[in-house]
Amino acid sequence: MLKIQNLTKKYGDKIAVDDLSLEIHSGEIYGFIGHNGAGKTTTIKCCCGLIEFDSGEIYVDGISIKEDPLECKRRLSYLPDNPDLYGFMTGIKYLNFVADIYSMGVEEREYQIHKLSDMFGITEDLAQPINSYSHGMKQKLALISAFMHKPKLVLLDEPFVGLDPMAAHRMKEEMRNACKEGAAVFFSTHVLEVAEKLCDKIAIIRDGRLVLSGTTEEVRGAASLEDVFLSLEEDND
Amino acid sequence: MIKTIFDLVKIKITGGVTSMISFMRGREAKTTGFSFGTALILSIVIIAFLFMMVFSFGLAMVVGFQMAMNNCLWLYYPLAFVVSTVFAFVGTVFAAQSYLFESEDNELLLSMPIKPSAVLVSRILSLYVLNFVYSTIILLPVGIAHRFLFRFKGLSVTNDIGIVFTYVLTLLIVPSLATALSCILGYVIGKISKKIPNKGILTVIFGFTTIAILAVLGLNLGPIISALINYIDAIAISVEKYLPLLYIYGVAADAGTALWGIIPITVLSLGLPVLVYQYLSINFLRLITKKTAPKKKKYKKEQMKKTNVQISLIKKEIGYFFSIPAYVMNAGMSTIMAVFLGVGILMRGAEMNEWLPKMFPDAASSLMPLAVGSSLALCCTLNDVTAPSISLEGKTIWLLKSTPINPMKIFWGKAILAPVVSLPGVLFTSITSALMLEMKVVDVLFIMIIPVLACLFSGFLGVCINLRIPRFDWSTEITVIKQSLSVIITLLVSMFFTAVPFVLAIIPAAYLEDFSTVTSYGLCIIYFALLIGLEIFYLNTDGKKIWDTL
Repeated sequence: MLKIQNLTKKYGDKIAVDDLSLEIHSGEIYGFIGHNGAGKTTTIKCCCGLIEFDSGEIYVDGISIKEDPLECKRRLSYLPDNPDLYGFMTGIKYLNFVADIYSMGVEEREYQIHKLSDMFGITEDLAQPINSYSHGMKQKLALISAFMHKPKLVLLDEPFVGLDPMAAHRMKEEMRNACKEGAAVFFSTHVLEVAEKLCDKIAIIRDGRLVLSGTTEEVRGAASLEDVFLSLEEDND
Repeated sequence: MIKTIFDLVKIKITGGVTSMISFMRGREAKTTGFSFGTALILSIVIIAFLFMMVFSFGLAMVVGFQMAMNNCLWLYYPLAFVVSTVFAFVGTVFAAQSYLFESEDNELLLSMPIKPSAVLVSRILSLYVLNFVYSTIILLPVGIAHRFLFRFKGLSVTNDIGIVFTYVLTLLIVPSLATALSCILGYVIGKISKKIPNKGILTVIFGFTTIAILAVLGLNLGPIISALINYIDAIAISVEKYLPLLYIYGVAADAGTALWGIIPITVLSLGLPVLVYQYLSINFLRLITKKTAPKKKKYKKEQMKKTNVQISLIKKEIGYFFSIPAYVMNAGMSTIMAVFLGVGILMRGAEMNEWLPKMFPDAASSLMPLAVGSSLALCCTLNDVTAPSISLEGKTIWLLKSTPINPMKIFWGKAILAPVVSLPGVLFTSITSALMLEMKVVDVLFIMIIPVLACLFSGFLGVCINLRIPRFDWSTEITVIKQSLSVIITLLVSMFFTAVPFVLAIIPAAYLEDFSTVTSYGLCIIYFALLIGLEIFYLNTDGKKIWDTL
């Protein structure tokens, strides 16, 4: 579903992502781990066509993001680490706006919006302007907008930040549901325990380079993911 | 504590100035040095200041001369005092609320070992500095003019020190009084706005009312000054009789003698801010920390509607526009001006029907629609709604960029907003023109179509220019709306390009006997259609590429 081939992205002289290759298949939850500034956000932004990259290729469902970004974007949804939304809109207007962009039918949008907003417990708040939402509520609204149009690929940058335990649990459920229906989920996180329990596969990135990837079992081996991550960091030091 | 207050004032003032200059410099703001943007904006600011000062000087000389002739030059400074206080008050009343109660760093400062009273004093002093700048625009030329008038009166400057002393004191106390007044009104507006659901509406109503009052005063400046000159004696007698505070101040300020006369007005001007401080300090913590939650409206599940993406984008732009009072007031000026034009036609239309044929016996019927159409189109170019629209996406730009929307739809959604905002004024003036100016159907159609095309042209122009020089590092929308280089460039360029066809059409219409108005209408329409076509071509090629890099 997502194929990253030799991706390189520079900001001036600084190489943010260096020759990174990854492949994520339908039905997989793929965790992306790395220290602050390792290149996780840059990689995800390149995958959703938010920023251009210097070399390499990214394919979404076999379509090049460089060649046909709109077709790729129709198949994916993206959630940034700090989702700033249109504060002047009410929650329901925002969700309808996103539904219009993805050409969702009336019945489909009604069902998905109500199902997901019930699930995240924000249905009653949908008539409120987003400006009045807490950080967690904005995160929940952004998650609903990311999942409601049934994307084939879900790209999430630090999706657990700001979520209460119940909402985090619901989100994990929704990620698994999406994968059962054939989607792929690629997300970055610092919460290693979550990655360890939730992900089918994990990639560890350091200074823009992929240092380890594979199934969760392969990556952690006999140790915990935290041990693996810390030992990699110590090796680097 | 004094050092803390000084530091806070310095941070507020330098922060404001740096932000203004930085935004006006456009995209190169992160670089140091003197950019084209800085030069342009500083030139405009300096020219505007100079213009206002020269204007004030001229007025002061005209009115002061009459006062000197009527031996009531003592009225000169009291009048300047009142006018400069009102000018500064009007200029800073909106800043007062944000300076005092809505500063973003309020909570940060309160979490530090700084006394709340120090924060409040620093806010009031920052406002004082702003008022000082405003009042100086009036008082500086007034002081210079007074020197000329004093000599004209034939008096030797024997009490020079006294005159200079009272003048300097005036420079200091006028902003003090204006600060107190703007604090009071800012506080009252804040109180009222907390009680209404959409406080933006109050700001817009208050803003437009102020603009309307200023516009009426501006349009009637001539008659007001004439009345002032004609009735100067009566005014002087009334002030002497009913406003002794101003009278004794005026005598002291004019002659530099009887300096005790400035004490009451000084006490009032310095005392009022102290009282305001005393009152606000009691409630300051509560005022800046109290968050009034709007009444919660529960969502009820209801049937949704599917909307076309383009319509959805336009609705989004309209929603954003109406959510920011400063945005409405800035771009809405075009509508207000167009409505003024319409009102002017309603009131003076009959006179225009008589006056124009006398001046241009053979060309009146051609000139009238061209004049109205050009005026209306130029009003529409004041609509800068799209010039900050790309920048205003700010941190939400990921929403549009990560979703499957063709960038051209986004550009259209923004550009369409310009005619949407200006349409009420255009329609109103077209109807009043049709009713009052004896126009043919084709003329009325022309004065409806041309301003809409001019709007669309300036709308697309704003998008093009903002794409070239976007700024996403703003903290409040007002910075982008009021201080962006893209806004200034869009205004100037769209005015120029809108004026060109009318200048080219009006001159031959006035002097050529067999001038075809329909041909000139057609040429104007083709001209704007071509410009819009070029803009769309640019956006479809380079514009899309730039959008991808944002």
